[in-house]
Amino acid sequence: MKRRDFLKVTGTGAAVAAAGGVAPLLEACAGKARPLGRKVVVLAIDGMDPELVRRFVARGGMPTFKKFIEGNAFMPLGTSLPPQSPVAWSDFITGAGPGVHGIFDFIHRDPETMLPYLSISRSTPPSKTVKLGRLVIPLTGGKVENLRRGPCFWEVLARNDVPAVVFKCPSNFPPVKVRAKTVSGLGTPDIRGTYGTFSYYTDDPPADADEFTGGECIPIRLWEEAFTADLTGPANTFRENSPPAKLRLTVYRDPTRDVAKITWGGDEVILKKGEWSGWHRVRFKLAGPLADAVGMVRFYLKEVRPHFRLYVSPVNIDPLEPALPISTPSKYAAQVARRAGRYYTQGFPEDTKALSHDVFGEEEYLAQAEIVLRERLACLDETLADFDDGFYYFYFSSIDQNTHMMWRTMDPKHPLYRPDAPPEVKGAVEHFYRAMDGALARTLAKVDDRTTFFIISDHGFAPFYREFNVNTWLLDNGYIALADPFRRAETEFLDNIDWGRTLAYGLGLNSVYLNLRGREPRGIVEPEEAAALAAKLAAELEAYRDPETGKRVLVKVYKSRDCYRGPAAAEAPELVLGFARGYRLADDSAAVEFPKRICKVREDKWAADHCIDPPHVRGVLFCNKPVAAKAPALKDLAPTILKEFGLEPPREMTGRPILA
Amino acid sequence: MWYFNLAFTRLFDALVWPFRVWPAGGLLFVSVVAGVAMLLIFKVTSNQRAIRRTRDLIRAHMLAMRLFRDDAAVVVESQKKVLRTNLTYLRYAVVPIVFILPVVVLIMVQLNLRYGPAPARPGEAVVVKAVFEGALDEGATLAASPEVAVETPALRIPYEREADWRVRPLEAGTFELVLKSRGKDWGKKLVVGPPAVGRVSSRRVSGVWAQLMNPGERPLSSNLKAIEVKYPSRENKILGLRVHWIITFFVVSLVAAFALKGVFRTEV
Repeated sequence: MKRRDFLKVTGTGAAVAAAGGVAPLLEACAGKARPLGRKVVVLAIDGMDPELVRRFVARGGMPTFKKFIEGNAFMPLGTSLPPQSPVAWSDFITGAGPGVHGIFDFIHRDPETMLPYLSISRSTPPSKTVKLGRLVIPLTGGKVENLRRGPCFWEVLARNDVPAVVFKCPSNFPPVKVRAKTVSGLGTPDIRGTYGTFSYYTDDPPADADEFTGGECIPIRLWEEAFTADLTGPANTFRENSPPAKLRLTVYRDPTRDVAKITWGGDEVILKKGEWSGWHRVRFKLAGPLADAVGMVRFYLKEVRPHFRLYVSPVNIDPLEPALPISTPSKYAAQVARRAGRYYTQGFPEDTKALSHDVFGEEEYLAQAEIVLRERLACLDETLADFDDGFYYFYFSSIDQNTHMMWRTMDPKHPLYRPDAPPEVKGAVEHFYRAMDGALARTLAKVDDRTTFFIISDHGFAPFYREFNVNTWLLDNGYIALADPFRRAETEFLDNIDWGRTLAYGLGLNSVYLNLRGREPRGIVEPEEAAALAAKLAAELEAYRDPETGKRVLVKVYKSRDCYRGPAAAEAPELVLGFARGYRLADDSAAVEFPKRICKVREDKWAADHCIDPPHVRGVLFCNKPVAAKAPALKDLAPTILKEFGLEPPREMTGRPILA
Repeated sequence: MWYFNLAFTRLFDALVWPFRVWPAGGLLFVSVVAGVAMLLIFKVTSNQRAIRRTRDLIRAHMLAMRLFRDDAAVVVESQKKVLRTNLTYLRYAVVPIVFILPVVVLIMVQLNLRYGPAPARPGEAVVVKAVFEGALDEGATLAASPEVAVETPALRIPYEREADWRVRPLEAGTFELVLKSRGKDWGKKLVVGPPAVGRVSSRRVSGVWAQLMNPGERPLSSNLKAIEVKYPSRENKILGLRVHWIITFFVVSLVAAFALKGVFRTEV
């Protein structure tokens, strides 16, 4: 297995086969809490930017926000360090910083093996198995665990009999076992165990098909206007070496009309060119009739002829029949789906990778994002209808994902700006802000004089014009040595590093680690030299200027020993990179690759970001009560909510209540 | 065949009528009745005395194996005899099974009509499929009442002699789809409603055997082999658990047959 594959498949797929025992455990914790007569409502809008709110409100497209701002508090909300969603929402959940919850970046590494892993959750296949030929029979259940540590404020609420609904909060997979109605958010994988892998069937595969990330291109050949191909499912732990389970699809195309039929396992769907299907259940056989894994997909028939192009969404966990625990109580996800319709369960459902790889055009991407939004609004209506007491949290990913992808269409300074783009593409970001205005109007219907109401975002946004590869910089400046310099172009995920001559390395989107003796397996930096080396590196990085623009790339490089406090602080990267607006870490740097150039123009359509210096991407805070704090931050929300219910925040919460 | 199907379907309607508000109860009741019917057919069509004698012989040889387990020759000989007598027993069972099988098939066909497919749901698309006897009619079209939207042109698969459409019912009810082909019209019922609604016939077919297996609607004349609606599967719950109706039927009918064999003095 390549190291990149290790990241793609975190083992969650394997656990699908054997994790059936986890859900019932949650059931034991479910129950009813006493009524309170007091409400706290949080509308969480990932990535909502204060400046964009002001701009779009001024244009008149957000009347509900405009009215709300007139009579209530609206201010920037301090984000996390670094301002990445898993870190930020962990700050929100725990009321504390990464030193307490232990989430420092999207990607962490195991200091013993130096293998990278996704930081939010980890899945492990069954530890005890018996082999019968090629069949592997698990004797124990697989395990899927939430890696976030520290307190969770709705656990405190539940312990004190405060009813709570928490829909799709990020960094909560698998959901905390708690006596509350919760559905997991960012971190929830697709059935393959990835953050979302689409399948693209075509007889005209693009040249870079082998390099797709977040998707798989399957070349096909039509014979008598039909073809068969496999849809990939979870790793099949019932088989030796856990090969991926497959489901056979057969696709028929009409001889002249732009219509096609997809069939699988007795089910079928007919689509016209340009149409999306609804959700369809897919069942992967793992051990004959004895074990299977159920998921659901949407089909999109992009083109019928001259070339055939069929997009199949990542295989989502079906909320009606979840293969992994995604809610508490375990039936809650299904309860919502039965009334509101099935919905994307994967963490970030907007298929940004399909747009990045040109599998989607811009209008096609926006159509998919609209489906996600429609589903989420239906869930909002359903969960709000069910709520009349206690705590309520509802999360939207639309603004975040669509600003990442569509900022470039509204920013004439962006290198990917197209003056001739259609108005609906240029106005896409504003469109989704307007949609949040509608969500606010629906939510306000539940807000009364006994309700404390917040609208929050975890961070704002900045354009992403140019990218910076910190690992190339470290290599060029002698902080990293390669074991085989001739393999430089093939190096990824720390697999070609000469640890005996390496002082520091970058991993993830903002993190730089020292190769510390006693922590890294072949560490050479003595602990007593670490502070001086970190300071030297920080100063040199802060002084670095982009050779093409002459601008500073990093506004500030944070030394973690000055920023993080708590039991997990020792695991933190030594340096956290605070990029200037317009810059962000290059994708290949996050994957520890070493291209020749340190800085270059951003060419991917993911062309706006927030993983920069935190003060430059603060989120939003709206509240219907006076806010006393001068500089409120995300981690202050948990203690504030607890205080609203008259509860004392746990000792580990370092945030402070913000209301007057 | 149509009148036979009609009569048998009406008989079943009457059987499950008391359970119209508890469909699972109807399945359990029919399974018990089927178990009793199988038992009675077995009793009437089998050689009860020979079966009793064969079973006694098997018991005797088993006993011999236990009593003379120190004597390898006796044990091996008894094992051989158990095997041979078992084959004899199977021979006696063949005749009643031949009589039971058609009855079971007919019962299962009727059960499938009620517990197999679920009605289409308002707003959810289903596929309608026409399979032609001879060459595919490339100009075949599908029409429906205003409550049902035909959303796609025909998808034609010439080598399968098949044309497919996607239709979306807009409200609950029973609607008529009309397939227009070569100057003729063929109707097919589309049942739309809540999952608990009674009979749902997936296929309207031609041919005697196909009609026996698909008794829900009048047979088709030549040129057309079948018109089929791909309904979703029905979710049958027994004691809160989702169980396929075939499993429920076999388990309950067998348990009923074995439990009642003393009552009906039947050697099985």
